[in-house]
Amino acid sequence: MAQLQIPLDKKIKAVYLLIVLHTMQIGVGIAGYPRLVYLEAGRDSWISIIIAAIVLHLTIACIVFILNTNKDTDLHGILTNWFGSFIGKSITVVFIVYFFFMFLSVMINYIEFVQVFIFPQMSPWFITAALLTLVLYAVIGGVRIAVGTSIVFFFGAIWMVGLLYKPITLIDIDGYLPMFESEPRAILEGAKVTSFTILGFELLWFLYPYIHDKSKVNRFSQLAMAFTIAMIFTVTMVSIGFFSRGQLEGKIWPALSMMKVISFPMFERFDILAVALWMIIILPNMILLAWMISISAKRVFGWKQKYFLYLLVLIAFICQYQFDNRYYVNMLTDYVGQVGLYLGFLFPFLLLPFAIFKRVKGKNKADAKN
Amino acid sequence: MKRRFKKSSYFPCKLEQLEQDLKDQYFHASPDLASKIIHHDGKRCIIVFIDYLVDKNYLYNQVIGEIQHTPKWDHKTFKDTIPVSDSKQHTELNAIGDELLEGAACVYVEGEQNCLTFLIPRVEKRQPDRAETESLIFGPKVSFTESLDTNLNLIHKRMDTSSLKVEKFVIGNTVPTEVRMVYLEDLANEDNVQELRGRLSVLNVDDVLDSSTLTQLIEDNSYSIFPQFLTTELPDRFCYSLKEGRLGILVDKSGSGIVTPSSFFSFFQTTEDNYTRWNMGAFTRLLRIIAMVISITLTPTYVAALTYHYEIIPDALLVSLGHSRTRVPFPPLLEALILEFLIELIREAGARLPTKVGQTMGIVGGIVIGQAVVQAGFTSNILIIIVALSALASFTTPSYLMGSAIRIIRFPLMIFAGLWGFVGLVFSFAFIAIHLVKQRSLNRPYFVPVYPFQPRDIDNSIFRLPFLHSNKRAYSNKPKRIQRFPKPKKQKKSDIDE
Repeated sequence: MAQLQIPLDKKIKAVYLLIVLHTMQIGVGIAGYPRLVYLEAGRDSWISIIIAAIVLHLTIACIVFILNTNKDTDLHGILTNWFGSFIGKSITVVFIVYFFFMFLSVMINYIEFVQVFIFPQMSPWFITAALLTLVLYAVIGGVRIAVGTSIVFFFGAIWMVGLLYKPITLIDIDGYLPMFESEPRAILEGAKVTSFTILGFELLWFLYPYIHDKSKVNRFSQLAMAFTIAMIFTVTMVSIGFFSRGQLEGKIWPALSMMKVISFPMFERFDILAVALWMIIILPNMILLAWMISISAKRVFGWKQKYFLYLLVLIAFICQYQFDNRYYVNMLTDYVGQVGLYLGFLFPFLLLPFAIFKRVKGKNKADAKN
Repeated sequence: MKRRFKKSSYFPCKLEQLEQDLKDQYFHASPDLASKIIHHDGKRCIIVFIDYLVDKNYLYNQVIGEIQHTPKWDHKTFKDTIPVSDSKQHTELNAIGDELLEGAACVYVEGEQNCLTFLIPRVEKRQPDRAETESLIFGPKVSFTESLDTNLNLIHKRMDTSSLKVEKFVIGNTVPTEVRMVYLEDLANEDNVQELRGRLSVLNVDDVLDSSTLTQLIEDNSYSIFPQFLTTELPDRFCYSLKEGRLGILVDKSGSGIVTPSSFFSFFQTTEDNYTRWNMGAFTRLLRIIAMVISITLTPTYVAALTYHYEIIPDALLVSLGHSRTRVPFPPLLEALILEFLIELIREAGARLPTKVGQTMGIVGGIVIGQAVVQAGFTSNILIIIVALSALASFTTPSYLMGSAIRIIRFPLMIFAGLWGFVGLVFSFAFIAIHLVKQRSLNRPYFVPVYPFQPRDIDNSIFRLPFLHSNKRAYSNKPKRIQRFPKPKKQKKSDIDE
């Protein structure tokens, strides 16, 4: 039950974690994040990011430690092993529900981007249908295709970071000064906001058994976290420097608004394309979440993974009708973030003592045998 | 049920009887069954053959000539003296008939217990000629012919090594066709060989028309628009792929060979990239891939921009664009579809017509219609430029099948761009990307240096390095030996003026 037997041709290399975890974390959140953190911590947002980064790295170390204690199994297997079937199943169901709302919030936020920037009149069901088609088509192919598409989309989108050069040339250094004027409490609030954005690393809980070379998991997941932090750090610092005082608070999606200044000789107004291209930034999120939901549901309920995938697509399609209002969208996003704070950051530390206990016990056993 | 004969009790028989039976019962009075009776020393001998299937020169000079000069007439002596290696003895009329159909001459001396057949088929074949569909400027230009013998000969000449292995398969129930699987034993991956052998041996079909038909029968995903097995008519390309550790298939009566496993990017390579210097080769390779991207994106971008996103077009261009579109009554999508359709028409008409008329077709289609269409106000001339450019770009793809695939997927892309602008365009690109990631060629990943990400293979797929530096074969084919040759030792660099 606990140990997953995964054939070699379904496994992936640990290197891919570097990209997969990163694409999982970067999604709709990064577009609006600079404003949110600025509202809390002001010009000292960088301190908030650093605090969040430290917590993040510790959390990942903790997750990898727990996973390494129980080789070859996912979160569901670990919980079932330690606390029995009932608790294992219930906590996994909590995770599934949480992932489902995360899936929904990513989708709905993207629909809102498109409606605000490109097609105000466009009915949301079309974008939903398009996104869900792609998700279905990718996840049907299995874990390797889900990971593969994330990597292809990563390469398809990462060049957009290079476009920041234009806002960088327009940065006003005075925007960062004076430093250290925020209250410690505000900075901590900023760190909390940051942690909402960098959620998504929970993927590691479920992807771990599919990784071929497990000894490298820690290295590459930590690198992925560093990569994500570097990315949001850059985007935030450029936004703070680029927008004048008071402007940043008014922009709901500063990262997209910054794209407005980018233009090429044959292509004015890059932001239009950027919003459309944002689809391939959020697709890895949705594909991996859909994969996680379907595989965990299979682990809990034992039906075929396909059926859960169809069910997920169906429910998501129906649910998007409920979120036609900016107010509800915000509420959903906030709740998902709040829950994520506990499930993502707190939960691994709760499991840590048990893992240490198991290790010590295992070591004693091994010693006794010798 | 005419083909029912008594076993082995047929012979001995009369010569006329044999001739009549063959004619009536096996060939249903075919007019082409020829026979000749010769006398010698009171013995009589009949030679039966199908007129157009045997090599007549050989029949008269070697077989009949030898029979007439042999003093003692019996089958054992004939078998020893007649210089044909493939001779058999048959006792059944059915078997004799089958042999005759393959191009044998049947010899029977009256009173003998069986019948001799000598296989002397006449084979019409053309000499290896210049390649037509994959034309090259630089490097060897010889192409495969329709004869399996000639093709195998061409390959053996290029690869004079004992590790070249050829396996024979016969495919087709109605018309059996010989198929050969060719690979280098010390390079080709054992799993690939097993897989291909399995696919060829389980194939249960009526017949195989050509190698391209066989490709469609054994491909991984026959629903995809993208070809997964490369077909080539160049022996040197075929051999180059074998040396990379891939497998080749040759089909009798087909002028092209199949190469597998092949990745998406291998369809954009030519052998010319290897013959030219590395920097030129790398440039042309990149050029082709960029051309492919341009060919797919240009028209849909025009449609999306003019339908929904005017703001992305720079002011200066927008003025001239608007000016040229003032007289066009159609929405951009329809305009683009009409023009793309026109280009496809010209291409197809040019391909069907004889070469001399085809050139006139190009002028009529390209210049006259193109000019008239703009003047009549059907399309803007900027769209003419864009469509012509993307058609031109699609013809740079060396593989004809891949080029066609690229031209065809433009149409759905245009429609999506016309319906939902850039969102539709990005959606279609994402779909194509997922599709490409999902494809496999002989169970090996299709989209290879991108996913699975193999930075080492970029040298062999998208880019090209100087030969001394690219001493590794493509990793994705999993050849038995990855190293082509040991890396040359680094020489100590001397200082300036030393």
